[in-house]
Amino acid sequence: MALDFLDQLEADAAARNAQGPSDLALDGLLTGALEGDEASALRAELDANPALAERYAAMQVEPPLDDVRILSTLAQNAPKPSIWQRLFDFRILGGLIALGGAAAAVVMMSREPPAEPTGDPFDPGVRMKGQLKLELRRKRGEVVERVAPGDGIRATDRVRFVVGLDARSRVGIVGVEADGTLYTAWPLPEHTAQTIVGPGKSIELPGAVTFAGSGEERLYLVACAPDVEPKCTSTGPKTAPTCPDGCRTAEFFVRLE
Amino acid sequence: MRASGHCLTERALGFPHRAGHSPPMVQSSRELARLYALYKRTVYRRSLQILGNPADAEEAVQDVFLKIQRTDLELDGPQGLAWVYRTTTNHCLDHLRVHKRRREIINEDVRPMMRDRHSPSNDARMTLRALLAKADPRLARCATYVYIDQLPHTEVARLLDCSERTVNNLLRRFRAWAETQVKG
Repeated sequence: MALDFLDQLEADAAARNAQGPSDLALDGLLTGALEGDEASALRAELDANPALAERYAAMQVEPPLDDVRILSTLAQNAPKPSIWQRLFDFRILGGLIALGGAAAAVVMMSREPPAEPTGDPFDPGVRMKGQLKLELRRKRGEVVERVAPGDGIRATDRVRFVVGLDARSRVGIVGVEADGTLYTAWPLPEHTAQTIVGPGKSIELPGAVTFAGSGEERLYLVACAPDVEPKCTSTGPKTAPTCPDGCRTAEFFVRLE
Repeated sequence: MRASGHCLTERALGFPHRAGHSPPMVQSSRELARLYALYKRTVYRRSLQILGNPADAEEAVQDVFLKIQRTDLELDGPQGLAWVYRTTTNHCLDHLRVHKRRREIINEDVRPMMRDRHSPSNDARMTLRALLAKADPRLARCATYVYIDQLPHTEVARLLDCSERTVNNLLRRFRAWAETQVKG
């Protein structure tokens, strides 16, 4: 029968539901979303049902996540607070300090941030300082390592991009295949909301990608002003693509194995 | 007023409240760390169930928390948990769609070699994942909650903000569509 697999999954779901509360209900207890009588009733059920208690215990196990890396990536990608947010944050603090000091601080915090002391490449007339940097890190099996230029990347490697930027920029990473075909390596569709990053010396972009194919390939970090889309066109193999005004590129080449 | 016959879009769902009377703001780093500690198990477990791969699940956790970071919604309580469920589901289904071709290659090249290591349920889930990558998003969401999360229809209806009858209709449509895919 063509839909045997769905029948199998339906039978599994029915067996699970016969066992008692769902994962959503148990998650409610685990996260404190469930309170009062509902929570008490569920706790009583857990006490009375060892199979359910075992399931709940499994849900509490620490997942194999690199918390430090994830939280650090989240911190690097944190949007800059708006002037209104900074004012609001201050309003909370204002309750804790003297009114006079608060008023003075409001004046200070509501000021625009000081101009960048060093060169912002997107400020006309200011000379750019520093350089763009593109690094690759690959996860092969359980080992995470930095990829040196020219190193091999296998189709099973999961690759993350780390960039260095001297100004807040909208970034993208494009690849140029051996025949000159250009493609977007980052962001993938699910990352499009997080393309404005920096400045920073070593910013890990969210998400990992895999590469298929073989041969030498060039990757380009494209860093543009925040209001410019990093949309580039190929100029052929082994040459940097043409990108919009206000964008800069940094090259990295790899061998796909 | 609730639409009958089909589920409302995510935009129209009963989202959790915005925090207090504050102006729009993203989650502060301290609040984000608290939400991460609170929801990481839920997000990881569900991502692993939907995607079937620990590395993909870890990526999904990071991406879901990037979305959490950018919302100004109050994410405690039942509505917050429901929002996290929906966001994880949508993200993982997007991931399945984007990586469809890679998954097809894995299924074609690797699956036959691993078949004897799989239980019938795991095989069924692999087949389901391939279909979820191609299904209409509304049908895919409903099928995910029923077949992967194994939630009762009452809870699926609450997550999708529609009636149980609508959930049954969506499942019927998913089965009919799946049959055409499997036979085709």
